[in-house]
Amino acid sequence: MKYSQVILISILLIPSLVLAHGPSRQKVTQEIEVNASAESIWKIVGEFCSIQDWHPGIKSCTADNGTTVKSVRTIELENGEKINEVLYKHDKDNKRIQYGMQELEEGRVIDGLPIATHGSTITITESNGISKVQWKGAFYRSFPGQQPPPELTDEACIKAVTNLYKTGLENIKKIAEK
Amino acid sequence: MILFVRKLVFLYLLGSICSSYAQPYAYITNQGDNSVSVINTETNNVIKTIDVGYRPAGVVVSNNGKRVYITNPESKDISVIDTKKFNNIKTIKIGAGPLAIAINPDDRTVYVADWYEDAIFSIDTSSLKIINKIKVGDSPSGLVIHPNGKFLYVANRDENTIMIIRLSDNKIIETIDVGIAPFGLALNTKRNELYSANVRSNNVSVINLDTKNIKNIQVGSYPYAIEVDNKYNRIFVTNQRSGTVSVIDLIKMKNIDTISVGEYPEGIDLHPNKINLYVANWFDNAVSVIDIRSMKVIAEIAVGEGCRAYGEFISR
Repeated sequence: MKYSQVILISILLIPSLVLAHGPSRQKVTQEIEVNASAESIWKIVGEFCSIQDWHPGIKSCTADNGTTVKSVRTIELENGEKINEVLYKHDKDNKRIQYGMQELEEGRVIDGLPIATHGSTITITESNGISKVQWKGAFYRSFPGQQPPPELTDEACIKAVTNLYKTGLENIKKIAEK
Repeated sequence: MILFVRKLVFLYLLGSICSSYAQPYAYITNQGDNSVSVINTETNNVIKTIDVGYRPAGVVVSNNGKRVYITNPESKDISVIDTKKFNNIKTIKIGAGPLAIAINPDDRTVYVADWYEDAIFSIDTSSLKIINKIKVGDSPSGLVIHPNGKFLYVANRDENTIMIIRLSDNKIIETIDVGIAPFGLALNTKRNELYSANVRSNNVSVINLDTKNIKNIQVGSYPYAIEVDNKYNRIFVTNQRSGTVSVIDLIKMKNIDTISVGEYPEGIDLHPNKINLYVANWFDNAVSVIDIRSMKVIAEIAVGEGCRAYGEFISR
């Protein structure tokens, strides 16, 4: 199933009656165990734009300055939505990449990923030959008011980001264990 | 003999009255758990968890230590905690999105910034009723009150300004442009300076309150809240996205040190001993304690989900 479809379905599953929520930052952490060395996983995810290869929901990616801090990559989702993300940290020794979404234009809502700010970290650790890939992030929903429609609530955002991370991690595992 | 016993009883009573408030406690709002963790700062243990409103964020402890006021932006109310039994004694319905909170030095009035109504509410602490509402700028996020009780400073996040409110007549007497998206504020009466943490320009504006001159100092990513160390002319700034605390020397006017804490540090408050700095790490659900002599983290205290502790959260 395509990533955008997963999101669409998850949005449809959310009950329409939701509590009115204010602008609280939300967080998501996803982890996966991979039967491969951290080194080999780093080879898959280490490049800033490798996300277009290992993430099924990302159609394309271009980065203006590779893995140099402050490099900006533009990722394109399956539905054509484009998002700019800035590289904060690229830590080869600890196998960690940290990046964040650039400020969105006023009023913009990303179809399928209705978040406004997004700081994200991918970390690979290894113990006894088994690796763990952790992807975590913090974000606000893009809907600024108090009564978001169901597809733009905090819950919808958590679901969308969880799916984004999960789909990516599952495919990293698939590639690494091949 | 009877006199002596009476004296002893008196001393005992005096002692017990003092001790119930003497221990500085840190009150940490846990956004995800809808609770407040109470930390005994002597032992750095959580001694109690108090249920409050929905998605608590802001906090202020009264100057006499007897009460704690918590803002709950998503249930749109204020929880009032009595520190004798550490229980929630009252919920005050307020506005549309209460966030920042401050208390007058005489403990008689609490001020609450409402993010959605672009206003500051005043609450009378004896009746626990709203007594006034002042319209301010767009998305007020930071509040600090002058120790003389005469002025209230407000950071308007979405219009990049600081407003000075004169409390004798609740009038806005000055509006000052600062960096982009000012959030946390701190006041330094010794230097007569006000500081704003500007989330989107990644800097701190240092405002000279005599001349209204402004200098910006670069800090980490997404700075959030500020604490002043008067003794050594420094300020400490939490940087949410960097997971650090920036140390700024106010004489040199530059960032002299960066301390790694947990992820998404938010609320920051200096213990009355002027040595231990407490920082709430939102992502990690933990509070870091920094010794500001060594600039090292000396303790980590597990608290509730999504701790924020935005405000003056340690009793004096």
